[in-house]
Amino acid sequence: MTDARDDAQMTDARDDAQITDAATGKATVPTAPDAVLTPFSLLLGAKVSDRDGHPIGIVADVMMAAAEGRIVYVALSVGGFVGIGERLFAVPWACFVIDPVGGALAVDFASAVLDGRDGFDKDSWPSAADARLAALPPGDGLV
Amino acid sequence: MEQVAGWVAPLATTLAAVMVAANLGARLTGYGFIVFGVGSVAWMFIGAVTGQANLLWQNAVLLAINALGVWRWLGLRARYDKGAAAATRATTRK
Repeated sequence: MTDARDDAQMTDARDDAQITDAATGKATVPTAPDAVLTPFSLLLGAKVSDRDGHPIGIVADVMMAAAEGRIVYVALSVGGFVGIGERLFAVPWACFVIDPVGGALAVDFASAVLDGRDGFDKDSWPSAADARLAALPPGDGLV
Repeated sequence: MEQVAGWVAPLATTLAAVMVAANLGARLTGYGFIVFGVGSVAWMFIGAVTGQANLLWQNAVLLAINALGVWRWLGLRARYDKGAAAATRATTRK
């Protein structure tokens, strides 16, 4: 299992190595020859567990900073039935733990963290990850 | 009318199966379920006028499932796409 927060730190460390095309200004993504590669399609519609292994929701979509080659947030669908009554949360990619081979996805907080919280507006998705989730302390304050 | 339904039912079902199987995007998949629905209605008509209750009820169930498919791909997915596009526009202006 790879902790996405570790990945984020590694990404920061690799920033210096990232090449920007001088002519176009476009970022080129490092090829990361040592990385374990996971197909993006494995994420879409994937079931997500909370830190205790309880089902918490499914991946509705993934928003990425394509030019930088990184995932910004996962639109996590919680509750409801085929979208009816669901709530959507912009969960920072750094909150995820992923099995790069099997594709099992989990967040590093308890599902209770989302209890009583409103999701984001389905017609106007946020331009950044949910800062409240990004700021969760280790152990997310719950027993 | 029965003769028309006899052609519409298999043609619509075949076309819909191709549209869904081709996986050419959410919108076309959603339209595929609408075409499936047209086929189901035609099969139900045939089932009703020929006294085949099994055909009628099987396609009544399929019609409900097709309605779910339309919602899933033209309703929910389209709303996701609209919302995500709003985020793209917002971040493009930065």
